[in-house]
Amino acid sequence: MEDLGEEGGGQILDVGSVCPENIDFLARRVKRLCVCDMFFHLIRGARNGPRPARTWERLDYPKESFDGILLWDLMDRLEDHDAEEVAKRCYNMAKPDGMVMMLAQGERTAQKKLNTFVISDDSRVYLRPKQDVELPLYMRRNRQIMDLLDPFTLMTSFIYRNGTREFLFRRF
Amino acid sequence: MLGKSKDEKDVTMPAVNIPRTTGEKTMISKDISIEGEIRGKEDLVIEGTVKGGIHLEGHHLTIGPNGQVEAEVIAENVTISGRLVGNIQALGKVKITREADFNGEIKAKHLSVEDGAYLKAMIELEPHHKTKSDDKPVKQKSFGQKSLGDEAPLALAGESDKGK
Repeated sequence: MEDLGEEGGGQILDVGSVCPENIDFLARRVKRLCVCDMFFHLIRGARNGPRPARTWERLDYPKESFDGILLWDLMDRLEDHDAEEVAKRCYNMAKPDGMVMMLAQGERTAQKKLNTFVISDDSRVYLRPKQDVELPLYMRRNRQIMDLLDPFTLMTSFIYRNGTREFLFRRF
Repeated sequence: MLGKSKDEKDVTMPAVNIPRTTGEKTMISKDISIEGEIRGKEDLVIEGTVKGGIHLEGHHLTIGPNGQVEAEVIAENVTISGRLVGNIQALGKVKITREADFNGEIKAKHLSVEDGAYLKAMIELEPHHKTKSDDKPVKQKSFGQKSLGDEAPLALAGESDKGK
């Protein structure tokens, strides 16, 4: 992230949840920021029912569009089939050498209540509760996450003290 | 006397109804639909339906909570509280409120988005200009290190682990 602006920026996709700080941070560092708030539909479905079907279809961008895709907390909120479809779409949308950065909850922090990962000015991330929203939680083990994003190559992964897991995948 | 000029003293308001204006602002109200090109030299508030193009160079476009707009928009500043499908080019600020539903492209100097808005957008803002403090070496290898963990992150798995 620190290096986002280094090479004149690329095209980044943020699938939500929408957060003004992230938009401002990212949009000023990359050539183009695309935002597709997948959480909006999940939240609306959770509030008003029924659960939205085929949410992944909203990721309808052309093939090989993005240098980077931010997949923060989304997979934790999707059941297996939906998560697989999102992973497939991410692979299609990523350019060769494009990256996917995924954040997943850890066991200690896992909760249905929705948090937003917010980028602060010093490029660090903190968690902020998103309104008073609860969504179903589908916790996956590291191996399951790697399998889910299988067409990608895992570059690095980290676990934080609070349990949040970060995975960086690359499409070769 | 009392600092008033003669002209000011002589002004009297007519007793007839005067068309109500809110400064230099025009409103397209809820029950109005317009299809075509709107060009103007004052601020515009849309609570109705507009399809086409809106050119308000140097002025402010507001799409109110009832507004339904499908248009290419050029304005100084834009505030969206209703629904807009189309592209915005703003020299100043675009503000997307929590009631907004936006789908399109935004090119602007500043953008603010309220929590709760729906956004499917391609965004281009004025680039971040590096300051000296941005050039300080950054020790962290990972994105959320400090705030999420307060401690160096531990590697979970690497490429070599895949498929084991």
